Formats: sequence, C-alpha cells, structure tokens
Amino acid sequence: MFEYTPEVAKDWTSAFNRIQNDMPWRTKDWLTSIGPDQLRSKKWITDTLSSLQEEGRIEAPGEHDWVCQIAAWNNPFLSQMLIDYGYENIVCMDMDPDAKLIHNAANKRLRSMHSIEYKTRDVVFEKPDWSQFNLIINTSCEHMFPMKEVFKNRTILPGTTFVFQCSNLFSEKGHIMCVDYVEQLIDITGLTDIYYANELLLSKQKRFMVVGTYE
Amino acid sequence: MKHVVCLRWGDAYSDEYVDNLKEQLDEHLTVDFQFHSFTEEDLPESNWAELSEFYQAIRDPRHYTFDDMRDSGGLSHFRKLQLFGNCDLEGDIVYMDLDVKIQKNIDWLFDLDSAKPWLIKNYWFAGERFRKNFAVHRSPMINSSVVKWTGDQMKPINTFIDTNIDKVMFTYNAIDNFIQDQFCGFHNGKPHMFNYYDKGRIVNFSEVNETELEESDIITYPGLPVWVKEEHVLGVENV
Repeated sequence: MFEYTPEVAKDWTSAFNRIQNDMPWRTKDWLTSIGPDQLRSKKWITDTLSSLQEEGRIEAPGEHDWVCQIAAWNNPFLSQMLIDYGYENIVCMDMDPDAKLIHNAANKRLRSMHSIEYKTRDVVFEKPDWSQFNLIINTSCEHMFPMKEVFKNRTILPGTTFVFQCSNLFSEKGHIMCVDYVEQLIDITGLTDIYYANELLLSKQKRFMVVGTYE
Repeated sequence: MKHVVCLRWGDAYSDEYVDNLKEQLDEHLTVDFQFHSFTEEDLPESNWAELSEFYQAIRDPRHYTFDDMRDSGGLSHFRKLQLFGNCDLEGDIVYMDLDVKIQKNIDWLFDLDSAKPWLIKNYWFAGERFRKNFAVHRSPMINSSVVKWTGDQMKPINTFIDTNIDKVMFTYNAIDNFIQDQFCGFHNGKPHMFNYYDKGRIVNFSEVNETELEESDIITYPGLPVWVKEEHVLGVENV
C-alpha cells in the first residue's frame, strides 16, 4: 500500500511548488494525478500482481528485473508501489516533457535510492527497445494506437508480463481508443495468455485492466 | 522556376476561391511565377483516402463531436501532403491554402534560404497553450496554410506516412499535429525538418490583435466558418 510519509510529503510539496512557479497550467493535472481514482487504479495493479504471484501465475521480481511504465505521466504513486512490490529497476516513458519534470520532482527521494529513469518517448512511433523488461505496464491505452500493433514483431523477453489499463471516458480530449468492456481491451492488446481481466468503477469512469503475456 | 500551387478537393471551396487567390498573387507577387491549381484528380493513386475513411469509420463516434473532430483520426487534409510530396515541379514551390488573404508584397517567399522547407510557426501558441495541449493534439506549433519548398524536400513526409500508414491514420486527425510531432522538435528534441517564417509575416486571424493583422503580409483563417472566409477572403458582404 502506498504510504504518505513525511519524505513523500516533502517531495510532493517541492513538486507542487515547481508546478506553480514553472508550469502553472499543470496544476489541475497534478491534482488529478494524486487523486483517489489514480490511487485506486494504480493500487489495483500491484494488488493484482501480488495475487497472481501468490497463485503462482507469475514469478516474484528478481533483483535484476526491470519494469517499464508506458505513458507514465506524473506518476506520483506507481513507482513507489512497484518498488514495494519488489522491483528495483524502473524505466518510465511518456511523450510529454512536462510530465518528466513533475515525476522527477515528485519522486526525488525515490530516485536517489533506486534505479528510476524517465525517458521522453512516443512509444507508438519511436519503437523503443522492449527486450530488457520483465514487466511492461501501460495505464493509458485509451490515448493510443492498439497495443497489439505496438508490440507486433518486437523482441520481448520470454514470459514478460504485460499490464494494460483502458477507460470508458470517451468524451475526454485526446482519448481515441476507449472501450466499454474488458473483452474489447483484451482484443486491442492482443495478449494471448490472460492471467487476469476485470473492471473497476471509479468516480467519473470505468477502468478496465488485463494482465497477461504474448506467447 | 518559381511556382505557386493550390489544391481544391471536395466541395468546401468553389472556383471563386482559386480565381481570388490568383488575383491576389498577381497583385502582391512581382517575381515571375507559374500558378498551378490542382484538384484531387491530379494526385497520385494511393490507399490513403481508403484508409482515412476506414480509420474514421471504425472510430467510436463518442470520441468526438461534430464541432471538434480532432479525436476522430483519419488525417484529414492528407491530400495536401500528397501534393507536397508529388508535385513534380522543378525549382521553388509555394503552396497556399485557398482561404488566405494576401495583404502586401510577398516576393520574400522566393528569397528564403532553400536548405530546408518553410512553414508557418504558431508563435501565439508558444508556452502554456502548446505545452498544455500538444499531447491531446490541440494548439500545434505549426500551420501548413503556406508552405515553401524546393524540389522533393517534402517527400520524406510521404515516405514516413507510407511506412507508418496505420499508425498515422489512427493517431492523427490534423496534418499540422502530425507534422509537428514527427518532423519538428518543439517538445521531443527531434531535428526540425523546417524553417519558420519570421513572426508577424503570416498570422492567424483568430489569434492576433488588429495591429498585427494590419501589419501582416498574409492572414490565414484555419477552422473558421465559411461566412467568415467569404467575408474576409472573397469580400462577400454577408447579411
């Protein structure tokens, strides 16, 4: 569970000061990213991974395992949660350089203690190297070209676990791939071995999540 | 040789706009030039139109509204890019949208350095509006209403689309957002494929003040209703 400690409070205060001074247009984004819906949907990921691990469906992360968060955005919660879950090496990617600045300020303490890198990347067009990652997470499938095409014919480690989330918030600007049912999410991700698929009702939307792998 | 080209497709603009553009050029461009008015029949055969329709058809219509199609996919106005990359004209080429208003002498367009093609930079979006909106494909930093290039300088864009046709048609509705993301380095550090006209030369009617409008050489009217264009570009008095 994410713990709001004095150290986290210090980093978040610092991040918010930076937003107010340097990019006040991101204030609303920041408040959304630390809101209850974000916390619930991110906690859903590590809770599910923990359950799948207990069931023996996936392996516990090793010391040298890597996790990638696609479209990581401001990401105030998930890196801490993934570290608590057992990952030591994290790469975040997002096309928005503002998000990188906010993430790095909000996770300053965490970054000093763990291997956390944030890259400005458009994963749909730039084709990053996925072959180092044991776990790949994208909680923003509603913004993007279907993931089955992004990972088609790309080299990944055998057994890499994928976590994909999507939303039914069709009316939001920039949403181009929303779904109504988790089966639609399974279809657009193209995952062939499904460990988990479900939905979560949040305050303004329903979120869908599928965990699985490509055989 | 110096060329000015325009493109008319569909029924959005009549021949009156083509004639109007030519008249404006004759008044404000004093260098020797050839004027070419293209239609979609002059464009090369490709699967772009079919895929544009396909990707708009499969997009759940709840993603967009009639007034704001920017999340609909389909790379609308892709025909401009087909023209830019397949013009088959030698020398310097200037493309102009049919809904531009030329106010002053524009010989300078043909004096520009030809090392790179040229685009309008949306200076008015710089800073907050651009940084807040680029990821949701609003407020692009460039505008393709007036483009200047030499020979086949624009061809790489067509090659990129042919190589990434599904991704491009799925992701983008506006060609300006597409060009900005993939060929300009405003947010991602990519090398800029283009140079940009000096600030104030070519302005957006909706984004600058009256003095800036008066002082500009060319005014563009992106996204505005037909009656505004008729009134300001054609001089039609709408009641």
